[in-house]
Amino acid sequence: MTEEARQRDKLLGLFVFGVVAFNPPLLNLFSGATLFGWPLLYVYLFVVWALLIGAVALAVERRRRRNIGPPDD
Amino acid sequence: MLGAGLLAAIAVFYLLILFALAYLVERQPDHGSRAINSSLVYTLSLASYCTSWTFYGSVGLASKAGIAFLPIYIGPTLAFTLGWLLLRKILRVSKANRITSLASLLASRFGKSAGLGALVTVVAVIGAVPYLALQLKAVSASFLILTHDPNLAAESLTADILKDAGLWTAVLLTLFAMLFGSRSIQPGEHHQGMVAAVALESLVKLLCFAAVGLFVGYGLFDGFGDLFRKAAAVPSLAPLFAAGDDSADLNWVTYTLVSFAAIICLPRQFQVMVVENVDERHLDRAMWLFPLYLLAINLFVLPIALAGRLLLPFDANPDAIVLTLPMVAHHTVLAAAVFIGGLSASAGMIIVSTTALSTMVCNDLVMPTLLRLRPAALASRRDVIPLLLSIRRVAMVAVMALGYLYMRYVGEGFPLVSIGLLSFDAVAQFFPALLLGLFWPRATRLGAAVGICAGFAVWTYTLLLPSIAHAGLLPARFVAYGLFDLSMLKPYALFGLTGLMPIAHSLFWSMLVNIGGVIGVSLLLRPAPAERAQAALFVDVFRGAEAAQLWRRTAPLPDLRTLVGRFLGHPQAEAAFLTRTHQRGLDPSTAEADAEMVLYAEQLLAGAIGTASAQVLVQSVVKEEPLGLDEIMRILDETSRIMEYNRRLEEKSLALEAAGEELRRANDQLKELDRLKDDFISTVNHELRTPLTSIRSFSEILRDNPDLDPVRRAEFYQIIVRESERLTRLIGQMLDLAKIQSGQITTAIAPLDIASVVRDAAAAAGQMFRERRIALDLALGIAPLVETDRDLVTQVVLNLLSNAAKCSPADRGRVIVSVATVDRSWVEIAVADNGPGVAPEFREIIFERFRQIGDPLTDKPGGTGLGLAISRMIMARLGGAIWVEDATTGGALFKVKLPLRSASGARSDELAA
Repeated sequence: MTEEARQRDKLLGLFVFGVVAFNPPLLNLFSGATLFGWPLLYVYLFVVWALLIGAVALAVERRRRRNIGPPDD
Repeated sequence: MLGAGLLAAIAVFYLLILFALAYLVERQPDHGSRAINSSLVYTLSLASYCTSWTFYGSVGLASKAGIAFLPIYIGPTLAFTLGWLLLRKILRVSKANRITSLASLLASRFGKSAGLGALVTVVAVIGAVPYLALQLKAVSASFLILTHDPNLAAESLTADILKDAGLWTAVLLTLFAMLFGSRSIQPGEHHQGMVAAVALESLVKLLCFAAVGLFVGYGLFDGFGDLFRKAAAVPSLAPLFAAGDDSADLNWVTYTLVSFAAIICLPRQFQVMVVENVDERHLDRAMWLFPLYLLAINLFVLPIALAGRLLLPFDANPDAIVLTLPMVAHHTVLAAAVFIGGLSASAGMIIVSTTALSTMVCNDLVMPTLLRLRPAALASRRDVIPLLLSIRRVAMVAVMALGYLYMRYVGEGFPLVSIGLLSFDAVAQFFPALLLGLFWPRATRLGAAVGICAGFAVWTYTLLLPSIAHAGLLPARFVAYGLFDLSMLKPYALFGLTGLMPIAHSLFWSMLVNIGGVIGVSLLLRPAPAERAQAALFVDVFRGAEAAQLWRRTAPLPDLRTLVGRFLGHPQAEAAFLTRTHQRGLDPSTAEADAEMVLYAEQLLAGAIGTASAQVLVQSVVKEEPLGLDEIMRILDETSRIMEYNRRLEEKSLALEAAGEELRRANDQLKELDRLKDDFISTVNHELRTPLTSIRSFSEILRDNPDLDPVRRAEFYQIIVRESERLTRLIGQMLDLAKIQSGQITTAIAPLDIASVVRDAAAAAGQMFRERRIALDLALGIAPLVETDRDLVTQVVLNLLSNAAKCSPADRGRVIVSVATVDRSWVEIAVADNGPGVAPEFREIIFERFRQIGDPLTDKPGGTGLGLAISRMIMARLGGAIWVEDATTGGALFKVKLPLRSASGARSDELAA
């Protein structure tokens, strides 16, 4: 497997992770509860969102630094 | 509270700053491109996705439904995670085909179809109208709230239309769009000034919103923890922290899906993401930077909404919480900042939207129609640019007017978010055709058209018409009771489907008919060749698909240059052609443009007026002749050469594999044969030694004991004779076997009375039967004549008879030989005995060499073990067969089957094997 395909599959995996993490029924697990007085659902959504963005940034920026184009196809 | 004059002055001043920025960027294209040419500006321009819906509407929704505002931003986040798979393909395809709008993209993908482009344009314009209305409503309402008492109900728009801020915003922003969105016609449709202004607006709205958020957290409360604790103490706010019931879950998923589609299919998102993109690599950074922007602008939505619920009266307009909070706290500067932020959010969306829609209307609706209806009038114009620009400007005004009318007469009673979702649902109708068009080569033009039409029709009936009826512009009866009072046709419960919110309900039905239409029709009907060529160009864009030229098109170069010049400006056209001639190393004085040059001209034109129109125009100047058969063959050869090569390679490796397999099998066979040979030799050795040893030892006894009594002596002599006979027989049979195996045996085929053969054999074997007192019965009847070899058949029958004699019990044994004709072409000789029989598992083994059944320790071998093996070989040689069954008499029944007519001769090779 080429480096490009690996990166692409990584992003595909992140997409699937996002679909699962951001949707019911997983979402409903955090419903109603609080964490140090903060609504848990709100904290969960934004933390997962930030993690997802961070992971995509890592994958993409590593490629940019190496100055290779994204995978073709 | 602010004076209306002051606030209007601030707004106009802010818009003037935007004008100035756009103007400066456009004036200095070199400076501009360096500033514009960055992924940050690209990302900020994408953020025009966050309109006043985000700025005011999200807080409004969050104050009632908690976290439910968020899926609208999660959908785009997920879409951008797929940047390399989905968005980059759209970018690449659009650049390769000089796509200027979503309508052009779909038209171009589905066989450069003008009809499809027009359809998409109409749907896009109608779908965008509520959205534009939403922006104007937000500006208008925020102006009203700021200049009046905050507790005033925001719905009551000023009766005097000339005092409506929404109208003036519409006018000013249309002006802006006209100046920077349709200032000139350029191939590629880059509007750098506009992009710069929109990027600045995105920055402003983010900062303003964050300022409100921080003010709420630390100005009105003692930090966000304090805010959340106070909110948690109010029981009526508890639902805002929960995920909600099943219906809320469904809405969540629906909003995620619809926003996923919208971030790609909204005309203005397509404009900033694809058309205004100057460098594909900007997408890489935007893949995470844009979601980060979305996260940042949504971070404070819930806290602001909670603060609104805690501090404002219960009946306060939820969509105005952002604005009202600073006002209630008498923070006038912040309130003005919020107004500017909201204005930015609206302005960015309106400018890009009108630009994108006007391009679509001009390139994909008006121009193709004009070209079809009045080609002569168009041809007589030397310079078409003014015409194009006027069409675009008129389109902008018309679209804005529609938006304003919708706001004034329809949008009043609806919250911002539901108006926005109405538009999202409309543009989502493009998504199936777009996605399938990009990844499924078989998706056809008709399929796309049917899908979009059906989806749009459902959307109109289940969302747009009810919203208009709600405003009293249509009889509202059909909303409550269904069309013609048919309850099946209730717009919010179509075919009795209840339990869904209107948006989810509409999306379900529209996507059902839409996706079903695209796939179903595409599967049913075959696309035309030209359409298939375009499809391959789009689907395989990363595999370097090139535009296949099915026609040899040539044109006089000056004609072509003039044509392009009329749409792009003559100096630009001149320069473009000169550069191209230079790049291709052609003679600049060439008078004839070849097929590639014609294609280049078509692409240049497509960048200005759309694919479908460009094709029609170029067609008017080119001399077109279909390629000759051999030329098509050559092109096909070119493309299929590599495929052919691959195929051959694959075949070769398959053949190699097969050969290897064969070799392996042959090797196994050889090894097996070698093992058999060793077995055979050791068996033969043993079989020959046994009689020899007994002959030798009895001879030695006779030699060493001359005074042996005569009875014993006679007995020993008898043994020696018998063993010698056995040895002779063994050697004879082995010779036979070798002869048959090596194919040296000759057959003398002649018509033969099979009964006489059996009688002769029975006579020859008679002595054995008499010795053991076994009865031998012949039941021959009238045996037919058989063409075969007498000696060989006799030998087989003799073998069977001697076996039968050996196996049958002495004194009471009984052997029956019978002959019968079978199937008219075979004769069967059967030898039945009443011995122990042959167990089923041995019925094949006994025909192998030296295989005798029975207990090897107690049973003295009665024969050589070669008789049956020889018989089987003989039968194979003669084209017959030999096998064993159970006899009715209890013993074994050996059967020999021979063809009546000989086909031998051709059998010798089989025998040799």
